[in-house]
Amino acid sequence: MLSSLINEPGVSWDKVTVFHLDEYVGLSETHPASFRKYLKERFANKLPDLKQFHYVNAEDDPQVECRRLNAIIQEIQIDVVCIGIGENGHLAFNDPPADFDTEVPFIVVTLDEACRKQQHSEGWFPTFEDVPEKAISMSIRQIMKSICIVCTVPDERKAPAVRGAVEGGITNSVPASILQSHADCHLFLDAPVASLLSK
Amino acid sequence: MQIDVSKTKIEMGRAAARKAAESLKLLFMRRDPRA
Repeated sequence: MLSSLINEPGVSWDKVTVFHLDEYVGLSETHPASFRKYLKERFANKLPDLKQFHYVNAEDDPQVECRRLNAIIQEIQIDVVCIGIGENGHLAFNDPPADFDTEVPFIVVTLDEACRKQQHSEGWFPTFEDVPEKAISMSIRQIMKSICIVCTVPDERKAPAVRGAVEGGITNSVPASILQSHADCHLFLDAPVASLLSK
Repeated sequence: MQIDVSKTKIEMGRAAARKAAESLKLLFMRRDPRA
């Protein structure tokens, strides 16, 4: 999705400020699983005109980093969130049971076993034990404040999570189900991940 | 929630990118119609 987005014509990137959604606590930017590394290499470095990119750097004290980011984002209206859904139904790193109530924009979260297993099975970490237990994540309420949400979810392994998010009730045990209540949410799926939807 | 299903992951990514870009352009225009 990002590789396509950077090639979309007519976007005034010099007006775009980006906020990073989530990052592992204690992980250096040189680690293969670092989302800062991923986003710099596949997005920001390819857009030299981009106005600004606020990265989440959780290598040191995550509470200090949250306070720094919260001070920046609190006065800003986010236009578009680009997001995915995890195998456990998470949004960003808001694993179930997600906090649907906090108004704090960036929070420190504990990653559940399913999330950590996904990160290991995708090959980002050599062992399950290497996957950090904590992360900084944009909160659910902050994500929902965006005017538009573009959510992309590929792969059959996420089909149960997508079914739960779309066809189940809104519940913090399936964090992505909150998207049902957003006024302008667009969910993009490939055929395998949509295979369990009833219509 | 609007749902768009593509045959492949690549097509899905392109469709999502198109939507994100359209939304950015539209919201910029609403904020500053002269731009």
